Amino acid sequence: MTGQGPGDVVLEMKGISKSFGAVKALRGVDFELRKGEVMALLGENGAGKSTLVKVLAGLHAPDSGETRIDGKPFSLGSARLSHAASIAVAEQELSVIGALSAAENIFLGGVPFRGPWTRRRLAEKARPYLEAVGLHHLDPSTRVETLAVAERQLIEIARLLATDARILILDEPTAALNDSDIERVKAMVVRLARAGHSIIYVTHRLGEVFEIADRITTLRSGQSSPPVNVSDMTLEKVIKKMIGRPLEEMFPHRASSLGAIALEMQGVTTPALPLPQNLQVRKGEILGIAGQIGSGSEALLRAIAGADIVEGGSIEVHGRAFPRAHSLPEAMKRGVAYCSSDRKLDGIFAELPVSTNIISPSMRRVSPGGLVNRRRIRALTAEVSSQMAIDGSRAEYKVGALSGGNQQKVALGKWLGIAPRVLLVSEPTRGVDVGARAEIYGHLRRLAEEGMAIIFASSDIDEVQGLADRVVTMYRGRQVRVVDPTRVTSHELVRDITHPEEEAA
Amino acid sequence: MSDSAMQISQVHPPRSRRLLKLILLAAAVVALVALGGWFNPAFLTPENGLAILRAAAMSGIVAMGATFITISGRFFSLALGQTAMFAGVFMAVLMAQGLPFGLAVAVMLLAVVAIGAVQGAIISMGANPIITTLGAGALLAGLAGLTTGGRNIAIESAVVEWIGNGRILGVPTQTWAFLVSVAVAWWVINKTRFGRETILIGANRATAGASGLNVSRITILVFIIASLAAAMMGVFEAAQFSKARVAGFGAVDFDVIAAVLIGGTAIQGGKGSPFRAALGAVFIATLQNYMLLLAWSSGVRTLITGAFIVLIVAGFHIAGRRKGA
Repeated sequence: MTGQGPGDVVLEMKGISKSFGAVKALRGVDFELRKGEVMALLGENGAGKSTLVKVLAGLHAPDSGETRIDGKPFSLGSARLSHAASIAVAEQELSVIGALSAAENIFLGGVPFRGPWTRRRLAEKARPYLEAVGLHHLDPSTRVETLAVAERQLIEIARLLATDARILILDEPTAALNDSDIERVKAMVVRLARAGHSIIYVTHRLGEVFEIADRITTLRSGQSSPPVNVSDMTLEKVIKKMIGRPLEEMFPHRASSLGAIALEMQGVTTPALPLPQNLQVRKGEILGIAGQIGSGSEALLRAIAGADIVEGGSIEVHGRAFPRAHSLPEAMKRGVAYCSSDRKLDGIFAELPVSTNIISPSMRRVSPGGLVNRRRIRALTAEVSSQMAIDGSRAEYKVGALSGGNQQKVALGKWLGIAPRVLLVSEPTRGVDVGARAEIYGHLRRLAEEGMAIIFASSDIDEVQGLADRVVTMYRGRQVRVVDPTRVTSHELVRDITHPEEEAA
Repeated sequence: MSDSAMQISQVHPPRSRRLLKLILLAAAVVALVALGGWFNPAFLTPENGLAILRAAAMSGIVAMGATFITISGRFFSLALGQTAMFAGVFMAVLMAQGLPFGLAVAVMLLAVVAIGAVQGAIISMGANPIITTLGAGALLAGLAGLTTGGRNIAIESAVVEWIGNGRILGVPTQTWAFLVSVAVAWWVINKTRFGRETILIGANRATAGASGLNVSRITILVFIIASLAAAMMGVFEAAQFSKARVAGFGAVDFDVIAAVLIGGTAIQGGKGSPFRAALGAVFIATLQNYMLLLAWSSGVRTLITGAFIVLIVAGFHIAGRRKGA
């Protein structure tokens, strides 16, 4: 290590910008990191956190701006350069390889010695790194797939240490962990900082920030605000820094009148939702379910849609009960459509034309008697295109070639063909730029006004508060409360989904 | 909004590319025939032309069925050659027991449907199609070997004799069957709901399932279709010499896969054309016939066939990438 004292600035970034096509992900971001500190990097989804992390990791080259390492100008832009700058990143998704041993995972980047490779030599080399992350007890030759998620996360971090990096970036290391495991990861982060590492800690769990971070940098819409000391902040102030742009123009008006009950679920449990769930939504209503990834908000929609197995409880649509353990086609037949959160995975056929995507849930409708009817396909494509304002001249273009917003309009619009009574949408605007967002909100409101009942799940608080007529907040598989979004502040909602205990106190 | 609806039928960027592939392939066949005739007049006789079409028919018929598997995103089957063999042997065994031809074929087809359905069911539960069909093929080969003791089984039937060697309007029965199966396969893929659903599950299985399609049902049907196509070839093969052979089906799977790939069907699924796969089969048969006339050794023939397959498939890939979008 270089001979610096604690508190020296090890990393400094000024005016970092990065655009993807028309989307400006980072707009002149400033960032600094001192030796031996934990810097929390906060911001909403889409604020630019992951882009900044990827710039540091060398996965994206910045369009402009300068970076200094230990005060000397340094240009990032490839993983190799980041490595040379002594930066190491633990990605959000675990990248440990289950079939390999702990030691092999730690040295994936290269064997740490010359000469013949033996298990024992590798294990010896791995042991200090395992100890550094608090896995003293672990046999380095244990296969990683036999370990708990938290232990795998710790091994991932041990791998960062083995690269000899001084600057460690942890991207939501606790997102998939339970409480006791979170404690282990947090304790280790503090220990590493004391040992002189500088740590950038990205998280959605704001409580953690107050426990382990020294300073906070907040990003909003691709812009940074100067770092602040955690000791000067409160939860409310942090939330205020994260949120706060004019939302009025973004969102349509609320429901003026509600109809009969469209969907009612009682005591529903699924493998992902062990606690019984109740829910009710009326015709013409947009119900928002606020929750972080893994909070159960998406699992709730999947239960209704028949995408997950329902183990207990009952679901009724327009007064008619679903059969037990209903399937997705069955739910569709009863007028329930489900637009998933990951459109690339299971929302669109990226390689097929727009028109084919649009007709995919309505195959029966466009092929009476089993024979494809071109006229019907064209009519349905035109109908959906005009309803969702999809450019009709692109009906034969591959969906994958369209912008995120247009892809999402196809993923949503294709469900109109089955004339759903209940529309379930998970993360309605993930990966969608601001303009198209407002458009999608407008479409959802219009569909509700035409008599649909809409339930959407979202981790974006602005979206939930701006769009929903009624909000259910969820935290770790339970519904925290049902609120009127016009009568609560957004930071109350954020607290509900990140930290409901504090509120009770 | 009405003007945007009108534009839909006018803009068809992918269609031109599909046409290009077809033209390229047809040009390759024509060039091969012309070159062949230039150097060897015996190649261009009508009799040789029919022989080529008959040879193409055998792997071509199976390729029509195999195209469904590839389009549905399950790569290909390595059991089709053995299914053909099994079908011929089973039919011959039944006829040797005294069953009339029609009944023997019906019973055999039922068995083949079951064979395809079981493979499709196993694969739709998540098993790897290549491993599953490899195992199924070995199973069928073993079963046929066991019942026949490895001996060919003679068939004595005028109908079978005609099926194997008859001609309609001077064209062999196999060639007619090939033409009909191309037409049927093209029609099913392009004009029926089942065909469209096959494309959808091949393009993105998860999205297809999330759109309410019954992925398992389609997968099972796809493997049944391919097995039936193989059975058809098996019947023709047995009928040609009035005996069901146990050996000699080793190269079928290779020829079939080559025809499908040369036809530009995407190996990852979601795209493909039975018509082009048929042209692929004709291309391979033409090439092999020509080399046979030149009396080249089988090693050289295989080598050159392989080289052409790599060349054409790589050519499609590069052409497809350059066009982008």
